[in-house]
Amino acid sequence: MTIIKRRQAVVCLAGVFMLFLVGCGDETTGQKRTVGESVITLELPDVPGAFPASFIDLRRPPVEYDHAAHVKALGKQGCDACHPIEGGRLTPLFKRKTDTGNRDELTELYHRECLGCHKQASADGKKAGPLACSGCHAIRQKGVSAWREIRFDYSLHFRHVKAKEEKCDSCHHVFDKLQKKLVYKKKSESACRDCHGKRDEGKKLSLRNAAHRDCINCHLERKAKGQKAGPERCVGCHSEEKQLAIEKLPVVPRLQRGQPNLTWIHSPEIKTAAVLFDHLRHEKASSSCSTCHHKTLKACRECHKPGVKGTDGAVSLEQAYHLTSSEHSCAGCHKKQTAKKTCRGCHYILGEQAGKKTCRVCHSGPKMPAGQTKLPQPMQAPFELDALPAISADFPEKVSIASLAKDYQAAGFPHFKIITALNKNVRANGLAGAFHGKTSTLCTGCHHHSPPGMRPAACRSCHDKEGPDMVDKPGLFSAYHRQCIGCHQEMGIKKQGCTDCHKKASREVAR
Amino acid sequence: MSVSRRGFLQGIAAGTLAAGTAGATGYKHFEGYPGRYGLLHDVNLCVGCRSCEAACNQVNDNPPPEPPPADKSVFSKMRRPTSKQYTVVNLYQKEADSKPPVYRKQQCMHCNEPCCASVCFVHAFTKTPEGPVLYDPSVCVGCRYCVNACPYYALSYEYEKPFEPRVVRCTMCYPRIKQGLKPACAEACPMGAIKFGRREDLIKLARERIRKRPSDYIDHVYGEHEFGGTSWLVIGGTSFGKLGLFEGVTHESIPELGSGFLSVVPLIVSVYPGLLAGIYAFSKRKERLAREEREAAVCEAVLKAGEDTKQKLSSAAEKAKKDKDNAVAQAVKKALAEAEKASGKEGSK
Amino acid sequence: MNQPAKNPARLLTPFNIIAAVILAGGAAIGLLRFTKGLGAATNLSNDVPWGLWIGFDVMTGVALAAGGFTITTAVYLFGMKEYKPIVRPAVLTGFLGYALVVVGLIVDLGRPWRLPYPFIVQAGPTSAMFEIALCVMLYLTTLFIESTPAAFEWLGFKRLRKLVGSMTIALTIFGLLLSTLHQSTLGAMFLATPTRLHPLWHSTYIPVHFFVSAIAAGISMLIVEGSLSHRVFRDQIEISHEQFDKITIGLGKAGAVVLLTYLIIKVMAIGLENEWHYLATPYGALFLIELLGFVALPCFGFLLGYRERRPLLIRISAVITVIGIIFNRLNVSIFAYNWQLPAERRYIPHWMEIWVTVAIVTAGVVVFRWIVKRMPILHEHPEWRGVH
Repeated sequence: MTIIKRRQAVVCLAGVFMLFLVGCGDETTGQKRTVGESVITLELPDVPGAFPASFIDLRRPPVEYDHAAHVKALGKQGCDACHPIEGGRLTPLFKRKTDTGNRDELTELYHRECLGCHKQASADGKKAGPLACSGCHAIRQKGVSAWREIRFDYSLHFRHVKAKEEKCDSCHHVFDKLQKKLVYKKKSESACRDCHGKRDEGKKLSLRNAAHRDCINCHLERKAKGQKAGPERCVGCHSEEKQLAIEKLPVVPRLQRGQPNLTWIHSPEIKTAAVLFDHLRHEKASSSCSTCHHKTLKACRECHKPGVKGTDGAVSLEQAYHLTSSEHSCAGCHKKQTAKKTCRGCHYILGEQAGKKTCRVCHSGPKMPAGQTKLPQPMQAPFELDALPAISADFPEKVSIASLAKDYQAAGFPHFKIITALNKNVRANGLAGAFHGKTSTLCTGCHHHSPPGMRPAACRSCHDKEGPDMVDKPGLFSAYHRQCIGCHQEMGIKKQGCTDCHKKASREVAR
Repeated sequence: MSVSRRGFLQGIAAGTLAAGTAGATGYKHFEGYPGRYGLLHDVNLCVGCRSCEAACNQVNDNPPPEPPPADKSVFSKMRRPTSKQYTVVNLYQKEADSKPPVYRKQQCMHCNEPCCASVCFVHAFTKTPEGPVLYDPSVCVGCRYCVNACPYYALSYEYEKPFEPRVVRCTMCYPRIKQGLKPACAEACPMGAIKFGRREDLIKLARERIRKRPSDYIDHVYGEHEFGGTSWLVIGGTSFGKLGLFEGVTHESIPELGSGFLSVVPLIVSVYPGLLAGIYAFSKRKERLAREEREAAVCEAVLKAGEDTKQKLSSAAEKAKKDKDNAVAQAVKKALAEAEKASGKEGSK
Repeated sequence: MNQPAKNPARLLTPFNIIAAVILAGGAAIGLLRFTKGLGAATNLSNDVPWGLWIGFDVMTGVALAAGGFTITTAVYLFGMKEYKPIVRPAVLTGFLGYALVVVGLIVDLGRPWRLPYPFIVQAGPTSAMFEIALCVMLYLTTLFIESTPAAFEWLGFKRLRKLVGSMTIALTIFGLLLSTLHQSTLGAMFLATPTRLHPLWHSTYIPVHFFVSAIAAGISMLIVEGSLSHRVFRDQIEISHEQFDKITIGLGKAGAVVLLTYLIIKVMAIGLENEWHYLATPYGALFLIELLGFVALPCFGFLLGYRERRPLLIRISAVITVIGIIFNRLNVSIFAYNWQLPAERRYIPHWMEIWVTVAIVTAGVVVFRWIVKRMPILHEHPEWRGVH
């Protein structure tokens, strides 16, 4: 072999090696891929046992179908090029009017239609989609979807109400089992998702298909008539940007659906005192009915059963009202409110602790013996808001914290000023006012582990020394600073430096 | 041969020692000295006041921290411990939305199985039963392998000293601990973000704090197992990677990581001499066989050459004899013919 | 062929003058370092305590001095007698190299007068560096003894010469043993720093990488130093050009095999820990330059030079390999070390550090020249011709 031929071989090998390296680098750069809002993952419904387990990993990945890209390419042909028209409306399904749910039929349909169109376009010399399997069923890094669910709040709902001139039956219906058709029943309107689930169930479409069919068709009709209409593209509803840009009406009249203003929350099986619930006030504090009525507009006890803690995720009635981690429960929502800056200073330090008298604030009704259902007419008594006591030895204006003064002078603690400020915050907020009617509850923010009342214990009576290693009781030095600085941090108060609270000791005092 | 033999034995001794201390003792596992102390650093409580820096500098006879604790501009850069400041507090996350800023104190972690102790070739570091890792400047040669190897960048060196440079770092205030006091930083922290106590108790306390406030803490006590575990434990609500700590590292201590190789040393020392002497012997044997073969071939060639010569000689001699006989015969014939001619001429007269 | 004493005028050659300036400057900086501390003469910091003096003088120096054990093993243990002519210069280079490593170490250590402490005061045998110190000390002694035959021949000490001659095999075995240990342990030092050394260079097999690359370094240095000596000390050389070229080509073949082995084990190390994605980063580019430009390329050069019988190509490849070894050791100890530190905390050598390094190398060259011009290194002593 001559030298020249050998050199060529080497250059070729080097080139191949370089390409290999470039390919390597492409694999994992560590950044997550973003998937656009208009991308739909086409996945067949999983039927258990459809594949032997060993086959599952051999399947091609689901197709990421970019609807917006296809609209851009084929939009001139009109939506009915892919979405057949039935009863004067476009179906939200692709090239079919209903779904049988048969995997093989669906696969064949999609392959036939998609590939057929791609083949045709490519034969016509136009830019076309992929023809090979891996073109659509591409193996990609897991991506983060930008698609956002859209929900109605009162404002958006009212805009639709106005558009439809208060004809509720244009959107709301129920299924009459006897007549076997959709009818409108007044005072039975509820959210679409109360009936329409994740999957199509025969003629009852999935929420997605039902919403797309009704919403988009209405928007298209209005647009054709030249009226102001909502979006018809994916991104118009499902992008975070567009959702934030939705106009919010300042005043929305109350939805009348026969809901009470004031009612008892009480269950016949339960002996605890009934809860007086101001439904009107809570409506004003939420953005939509489904904040609390997250599944149906029925009362909580219709679905949640007392004492039932299911392994299937069923939530018992007690948990439904009291679970602090939930967004839909009473206690959970109230807890979320304590995270507001004006409240957090005390509530952060208290953590999960709730005072012993807290239950009474809600459970203010009469106790019913079990089995009884008759309760007196609910009447809202105004929440008592104590006045602050006068300044006295028990309620000082200033406290001089001097027991640890060494490098710094005594701290002058503006006791009265702080309580007054807290009291003001409490009175400005209805929820806070309900719980902090008695001003002695404000003491427990700092005088924790002390029963509320006049003359709570001084910090140094418990925090004299640091607790043993396993007990989380800080010594007095840490207790003071953690309480004060912690509260200031949480409430966004700038005074957190050493000399903001106590001046440096003069030379004679130090050492 | 005195040097080589002694050196040999020394090498074997050192190698065996290395293997022994490097953990080649099989299946046993040492949990650490029971009852040893540790420190729990709760990052959620740290407010960046730097009282710990001031106290540490005071107790260790270093100048007060520069810039002074009240100066917040110091947080614009990440700092590390230096030879004049054994601990620093850094800002890792600025204040954002409703979240307060996140600070963390950095210093020597006093590991359970310290990297510095294992890499020092004069054994200048000791892990005491009380917990702190101590440094002995009276044997230190100044090679700075420890400074180079520490994964937490905790060690500093006194480059400015020509005759007595030392490695310096946090000592967990060992003299104070021996007197029953707390380390200066734990004593000085106003927020109680540094808690001193027995390590096993502090781990339980850390777990308890995490359990009480699950939304405020990440469910992990950093330092419990990382690189074999450290005396300094950290908990907080920000991921540890964002606090300048290595996340997801092995639970194997750094000495263990290097011990596998060191255990090979006595093996090489014991196997090589025999192996190489064997190779030498083989090559010598090959040489000898080649030489013998060569000699044999030469002998044969000489012998064969000798025989060839003999044969040539005898055939040459024969040929010569023949030639001579022929020549004699010819001469006789010629003489007889001449004689006949001469007698014929005389007869006719 | 010993050179008679030169007259003073011939001492002031350009090389001598430059060398004298460099050495004087080096001595002055050394004085500064020992009176004002390391901080006055270096850019070392708490983040980067090991700089050029450790990275180059110690680590690269040890690798490049590996020719000694390589060639003595080949000649005395494997019986490759045709390389006998280069054994003495190789051993001398090795000895001087290691001696200069110790000089570099003494300049860099904080308290160099305590260097014997690990052996006489308190040992830290868990440290890789303990083993390196022990082996280097013993190996320096071994190389010293291996260098004495030439000196004894020159001095005429016949009995001593015979004595050290009889120790050759034992010393060779001992030398290979010690070299295997300390060359690989220089790499094993970085097993204790898994977070600081970049993953492309760090591996559980880093000791093997260092040992194999040291052999490659030794072979390449033999070629480079031999070729230089042949030029500079032309009048000392006894063997013919053809014989020397044959030796070069033979060394080239060995170099190709070793470099190919090194290439394979480096690629394997990346695959073992699935570090391919690092190749697409800037450090990956550095790694690829090192591996492809300074390992794969000279490997191919050696192969080609061997096949086509071209000593020049082999010499060029040897130079590239030597640069590659320097590059690799500097990468491991400086460039790819502390790779996660922000840029302002990284290290650039002080000019004084560079000067001292150059001075140390110059000192080695000057001593080498002095010895070669007097002692039977590049030629055989007439009274000892043909002896073992």
